[in-house]
Amino acid sequence: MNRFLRKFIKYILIVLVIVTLSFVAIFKYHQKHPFKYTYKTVFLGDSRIEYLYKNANNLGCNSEGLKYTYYKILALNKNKKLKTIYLGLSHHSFSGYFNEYLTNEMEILPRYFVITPKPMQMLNEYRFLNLHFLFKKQFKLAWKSLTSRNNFIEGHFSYPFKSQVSIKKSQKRIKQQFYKKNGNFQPFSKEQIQYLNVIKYYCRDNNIRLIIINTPVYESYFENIPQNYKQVYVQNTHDLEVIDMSHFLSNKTDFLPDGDHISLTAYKKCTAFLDSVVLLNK
Amino acid sequence: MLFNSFEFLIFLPIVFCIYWFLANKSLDLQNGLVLISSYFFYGWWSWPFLLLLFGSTVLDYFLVFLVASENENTAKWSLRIGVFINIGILGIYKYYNFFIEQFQSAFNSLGVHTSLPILKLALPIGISFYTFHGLSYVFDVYKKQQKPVANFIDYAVFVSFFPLLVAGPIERANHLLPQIQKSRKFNYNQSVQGLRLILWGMFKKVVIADSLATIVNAIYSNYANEDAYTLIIGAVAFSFQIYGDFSGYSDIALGTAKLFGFELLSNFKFPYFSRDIAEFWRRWHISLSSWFRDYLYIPLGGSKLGKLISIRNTFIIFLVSGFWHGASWNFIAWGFIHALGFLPLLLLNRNRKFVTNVVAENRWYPSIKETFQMIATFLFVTLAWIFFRAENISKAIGYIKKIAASTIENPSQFLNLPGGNSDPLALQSVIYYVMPMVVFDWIFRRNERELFTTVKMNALRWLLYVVIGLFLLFFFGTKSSFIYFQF
Repeated sequence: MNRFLRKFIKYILIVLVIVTLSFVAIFKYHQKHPFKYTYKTVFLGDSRIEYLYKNANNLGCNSEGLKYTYYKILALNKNKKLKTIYLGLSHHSFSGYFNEYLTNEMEILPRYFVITPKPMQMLNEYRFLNLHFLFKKQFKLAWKSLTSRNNFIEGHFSYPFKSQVSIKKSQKRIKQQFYKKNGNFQPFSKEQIQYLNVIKYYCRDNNIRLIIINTPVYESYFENIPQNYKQVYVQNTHDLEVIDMSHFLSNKTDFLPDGDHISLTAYKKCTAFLDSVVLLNK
Repeated sequence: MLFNSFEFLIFLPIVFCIYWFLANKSLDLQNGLVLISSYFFYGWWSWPFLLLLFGSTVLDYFLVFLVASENENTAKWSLRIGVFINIGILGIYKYYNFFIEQFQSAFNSLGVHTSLPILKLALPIGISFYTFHGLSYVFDVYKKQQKPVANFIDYAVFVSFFPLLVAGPIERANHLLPQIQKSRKFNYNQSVQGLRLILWGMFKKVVIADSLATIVNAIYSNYANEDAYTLIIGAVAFSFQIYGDFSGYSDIALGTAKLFGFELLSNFKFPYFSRDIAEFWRRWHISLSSWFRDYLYIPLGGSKLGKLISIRNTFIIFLVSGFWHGASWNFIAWGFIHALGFLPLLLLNRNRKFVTNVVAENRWYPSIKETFQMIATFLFVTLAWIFFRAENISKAIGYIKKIAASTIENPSQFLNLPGGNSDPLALQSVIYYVMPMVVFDWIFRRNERELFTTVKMNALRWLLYVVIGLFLLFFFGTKSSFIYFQF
């Protein structure tokens, strides 16, 4: 029995030592090689941007709240090279349902661990089990940093699926994003609005052109967006340049079933359009 | 409690330590601890259904004393009652609604409108497995192949031993009960072998099956919009997903049992290296197919009463086997397809051609003929899996039709490389996840009990363990259930 336990403990220790050493190495590497991004133009936002534009400058990342977009901008602009930010912002970005992605989502927080200020303070937000996600994420990011230039910054273009909109699923999506379970409206997300303003001021102070992209949605999805959300969108973006792509696509096959993500057949159209926009804005 | 959960990672070492350090003083203590742990393991999911498990155990325990009676009439009637109650419990929870719906639609088609009550009952996890445990015990006692167990705890451990409680292997009383009744001493080699099986089983489940599940779910939920190329990838991916999932579960179950000094029946023997469908069924879910062989096929006359009876019996066991998996026509169709695949072998008396040896037994590579046989068997099994995976029979047919239509419409799609209209990452991902499993299985295929020891160099073996451990650490966390839990 003792021999068995010794071997088992030895195995666990080897795995843990490798994990711990790698984790330490990642941070050492990160300290020695601070971000040296040279992006002049970037596309930021959540999965709607991630699927929208096939380009190396697309750093859109699923479920990304504006709080993390802000920290991403800080990291990307460390060398003061950024000139233009295209920021994906949809009506649902103002919904309180987004708040859970900002704080409680185990998969989300670890992505931004190294770019948020005082990471050890943030560590306090982690429960024991979340540490496991943190380790996992840091390893994946470290691997990415060795294999691509997107050093530590999560986000890239992802191929969407080939699909088509489903009215039923689109309605379900509307309910999830804009309404509570009891049928009342979701309150607006104060944090999202606050960080939009923080991004605005940061861009203004650093001479960065901030262009908002209202991403494509299926027509019935757009019609079902509550009026107060449409108003709050205008109120918060009226002082910004906005590329309104909400009606850019109209075919059912241009969308995933939820009606607010584009499909594989549509990304080429959007990419061509955004290429021309970027060229025009250079 | 799932094997691939944090709870189990805490539960298992605690029970293991108490078992070998505190309860090793007596057999009763060991069995008592196994029983309490098993009930805790099951109750973690649902305490009310634990009562059902307990009730079913108590019933079979007492009933077999009558089944063992010397009076033939008493024995026969007790057996009937036992079968009726066991199948009845299974029937109510699993099949009642299915039959009601079929009756209703049959009456409706005749113009008679009925409204029979539909039960809103959750299916107790593992009910098909522990019911079959109990039934095999009752049958064996009736056939005088097993004496009734006097000690209730021994019998309760047999029915509810936690590694096999929710998804098998379906054990036989004459195999497991003697192990329960015998004093168990810690065996180093057995325990190491157990850990190896757990490690490899976890890898198959957490890394391979769960990753493939993401691709499979995306393709099956959207099959109407996919092309043939993607649909074929989806079908092949599911073949490996279900294999990784279920054989992964079985490996963890076997490995866990070994840690406690038990040897369970083997459930998988590299089924995708089978050279015909008969061999596949000797290698896939072995404990279930042998259960049906011993308690259904042979009592019906097996293959000894002429060709016609043999064909009839073959269809019966495949259809019942399909129905055992779920109360739905697509599972029955799945069983029917396998019966059809088995039929030519039966008619040509070739169904026992590959009984003992494994493909390329003394060689590293298969011959061209063997390769062709394995691919043909795999493709047939994959086609049948479409019926198993689809939500219903019409979706399964729709899936196959879409493959055919899309192939006719655009045959050049199969030359479509990443970047084309098909999901560019699906094939790549499937290859990434499937390759390690196929390569490992090929290396270990001669003896699954000697997993990893084929690698003779100690350092290399340890490197493998560590790499697998690191992979598990990356992939562990998403608590996805095992496919066979639903049965």
